[in-house]
Amino acid sequence: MSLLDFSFLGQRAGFQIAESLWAVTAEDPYWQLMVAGVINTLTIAAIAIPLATGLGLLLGILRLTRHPLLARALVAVIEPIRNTPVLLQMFMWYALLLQLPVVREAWQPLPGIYLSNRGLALPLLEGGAWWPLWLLLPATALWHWRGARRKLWAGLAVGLTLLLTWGLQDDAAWAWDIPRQAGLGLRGGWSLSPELTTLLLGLTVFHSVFISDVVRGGVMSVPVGQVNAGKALGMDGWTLARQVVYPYAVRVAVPPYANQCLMLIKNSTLAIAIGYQELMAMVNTTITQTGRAIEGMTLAMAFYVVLGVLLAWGLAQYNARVIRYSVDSAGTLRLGQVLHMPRWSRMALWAAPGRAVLTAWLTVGGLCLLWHGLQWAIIDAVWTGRADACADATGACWAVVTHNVPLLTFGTIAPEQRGQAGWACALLAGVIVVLMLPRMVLRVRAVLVFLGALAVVLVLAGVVGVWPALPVVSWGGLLATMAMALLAIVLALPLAVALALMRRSSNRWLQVPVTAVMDAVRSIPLVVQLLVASFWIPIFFGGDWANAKFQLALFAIVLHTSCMLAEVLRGALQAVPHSQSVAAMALGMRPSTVMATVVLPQARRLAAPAALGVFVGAVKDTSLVAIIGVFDVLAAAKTVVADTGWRPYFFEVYCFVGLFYLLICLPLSWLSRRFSRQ
Amino acid sequence: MDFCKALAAAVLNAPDKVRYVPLSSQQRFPALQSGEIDVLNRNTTVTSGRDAGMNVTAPAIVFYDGQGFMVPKKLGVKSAKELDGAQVCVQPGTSNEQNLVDWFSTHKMKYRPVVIENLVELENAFYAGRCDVYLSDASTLAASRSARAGNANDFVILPERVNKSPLSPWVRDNDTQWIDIVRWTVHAVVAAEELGVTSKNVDSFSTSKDPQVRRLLGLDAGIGKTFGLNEKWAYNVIKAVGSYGEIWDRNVGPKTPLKLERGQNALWNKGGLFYAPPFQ
Repeated sequence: MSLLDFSFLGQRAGFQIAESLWAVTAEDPYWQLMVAGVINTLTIAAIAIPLATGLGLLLGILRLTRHPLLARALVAVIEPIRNTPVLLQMFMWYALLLQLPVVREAWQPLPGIYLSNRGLALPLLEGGAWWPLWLLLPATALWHWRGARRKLWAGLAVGLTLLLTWGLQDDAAWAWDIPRQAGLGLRGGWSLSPELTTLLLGLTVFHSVFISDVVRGGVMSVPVGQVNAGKALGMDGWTLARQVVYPYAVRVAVPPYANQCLMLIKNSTLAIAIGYQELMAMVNTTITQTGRAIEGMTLAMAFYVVLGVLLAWGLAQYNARVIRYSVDSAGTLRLGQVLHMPRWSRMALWAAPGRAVLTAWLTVGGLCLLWHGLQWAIIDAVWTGRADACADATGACWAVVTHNVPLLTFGTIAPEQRGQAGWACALLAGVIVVLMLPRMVLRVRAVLVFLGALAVVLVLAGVVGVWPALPVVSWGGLLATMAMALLAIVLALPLAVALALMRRSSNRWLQVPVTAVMDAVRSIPLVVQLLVASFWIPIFFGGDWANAKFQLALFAIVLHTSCMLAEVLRGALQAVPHSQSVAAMALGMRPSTVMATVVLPQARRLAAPAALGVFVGAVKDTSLVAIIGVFDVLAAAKTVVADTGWRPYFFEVYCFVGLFYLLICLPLSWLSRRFSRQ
Repeated sequence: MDFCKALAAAVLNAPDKVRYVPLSSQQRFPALQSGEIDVLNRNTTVTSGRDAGMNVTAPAIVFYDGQGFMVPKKLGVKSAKELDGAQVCVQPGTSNEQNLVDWFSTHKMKYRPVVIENLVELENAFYAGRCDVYLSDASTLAASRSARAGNANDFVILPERVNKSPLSPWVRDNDTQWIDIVRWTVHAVVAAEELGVTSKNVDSFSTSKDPQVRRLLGLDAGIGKTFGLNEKWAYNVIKAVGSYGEIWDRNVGPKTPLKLERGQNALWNKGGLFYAPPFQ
């Protein structure tokens, strides 16, 4: 048997794909099902990216408001979304969608439209369901009918449209296929499954927040002088936005926006946990059926690497074009330096009628929400007891959390070892707090973190205290999540420094492979990396890894985090003026001393905000380890909700998990923003 | 586990002298072939390929399992042939998924899979009404129904079995005496149920006149010697673990959380498949 054998791709797959634009059946070979998976991945991207862009644009523009109340209300909405794992949000969406009525009692808001926990069923125009798309093409073509090169593209588009319209002549008989209740559920029409809806909702909402950051950042980078000049010319707001702000902002915003789009596509691999069959889910099923783990994962990774390379190439082209026309405006005052969070003042709140209405509306709405929220979360809530205690409560059922505290904090650790795990948890929490304290000398911080981590290890290894060693495999719940997050950050830091230095090394044999690995790791989704680690490491090294899921997951997360961090560091190292090191060398310092005392301290300061952002990402990413079977806090939450008694209270459990992530990520994010302002 | 005790009781008259070796699906046959274990007693289906190709043999079936469909009772479905157009919850990449394709294409029906890898999540989706049908091993379905359904009576497991999945202990091919002992230990507990002998009343049979009982319990000598065992080996087995019925009730029966009905696993004279050859 050769190492790589792709012949299985031609075999009959024997499993069916639930929904795909390309109709394949179980009789088709594996490669066709994988292509169907790729099409599903692209479908998600094609729907979610425009939605996220639209929502992000709206949010980003709204966030530019000078209205103090609206600005703060937006922050209150955005921060929880930004600082909790997208997987958690998706589980929440999915659980909410399953709360919709069962299919036999489906809502029918309009005739022919059904909404149930089977998804949304819509009438379908049979015969040429795609004709609106073909109309879009000539419309776009006409829109672009300017400029010599565009004419070529527009001509091509029109030609293609005509060809396709001609090809569709056979299906000239249009007919509506209206969903109707029949048999076990609904027949006919076009339906959007809850899995796809969950994925689209989760990705759209999560990434729209980051896109709104990009939009805002773009606007904030516009030089104040330009805006003032525009005003002096008598431009009105709309013209100013269109002629001055937009051209500037878009240049700054396009690269990070493209990155967000790639992130969105990478995050679509979370479908594997939701149950939508995109590429990664198909590859995973194929691997379990054929055992061709090396080939399957190679294909998946190749897809994402190609996607990443294409994006990088596109961005390079774009940057080259933009730089050619750009106005060098280094050192000018930017909008971001003038526009801060709007201050509370009577003027800002009530000055104009529009503002007054907005203020009144927000106040009333906010108070209403606050009151109902309080009522639900505190006043009418049930805090203790078993599931039946919540049966007729009108508020939140926090009993689901308090009753399951051991499971959520420690996982399935035996009761006699909970004391030990509790100490470890407390120490870990302490270490994380030390990491996040805003004002502390770095050396003190490092020593405290080191001592804390040592104490955790000693407690868990059974050296300190009366307990025997607690094997890694039994770590679960908050303990597993915190340990994973902390270890990921602590281990990734030195690795990232090494990677960044190697990448900037003049030794070609060091620099080229490191660059390749870093870029590959950064463009492959973490889900894929986790699966690669869990499939490949046992194959290559042999032995029994069933009890080492935690270590496998940690390996993947450390690799991923360190490559992200190395890229940040590389940028910072580049930003340190070369003259500094030359000057230090001239003073007779050795290269290593120059690096340690001149370059790294400056780079550290430059890299701090982005590095903290990477840390926030790493903490959120720990939620993905459940996919390969690590019993982290999210997996523990799922187990709680799987209990028949507690099932109705999924919202409370997910809120608790969300709050935990928020408590860790929010201070880190704030710290990051503080650093970036300094 | 009760069956391992039964074997130890038969050979050594010491039901606790068993060394249990937990094995994964991949490790199980190599461990048996290499002699690390003497009997493989796990959810291992009897198939021709395993029996013929791996120098191991399955002496006697102890449990008849098979993949089945579970549906909510209120759908009113009585047979798996009425499932046209159903949405089916199934774990991806399992043989369940492949059998599902075969079942629906054989019966010319359409379905739509809902595939979620995590079993807990999949079952949650099923009990929330996301799918009409949940496909898995009948024993798994029963276990899930008792543990996860809000009200176990709201769900029925349809009578059809998509495939046969008879479970048996496995032993090496080359030790015929050991094969015989394993096979007849299984038959002994089944025979005990046929004859109404249980762990509690086995001593009261010592004066039994029934020749079948006398031979089984070693009151009339002869059977044990042919196996190279103590004459009272079957008595020891029944004393230690009881009849098949008792083992069933203790481990998977209606009073346990699994709430399994005997079904195919009843005695032949009660509509099931268990039939012990005569001890003589």
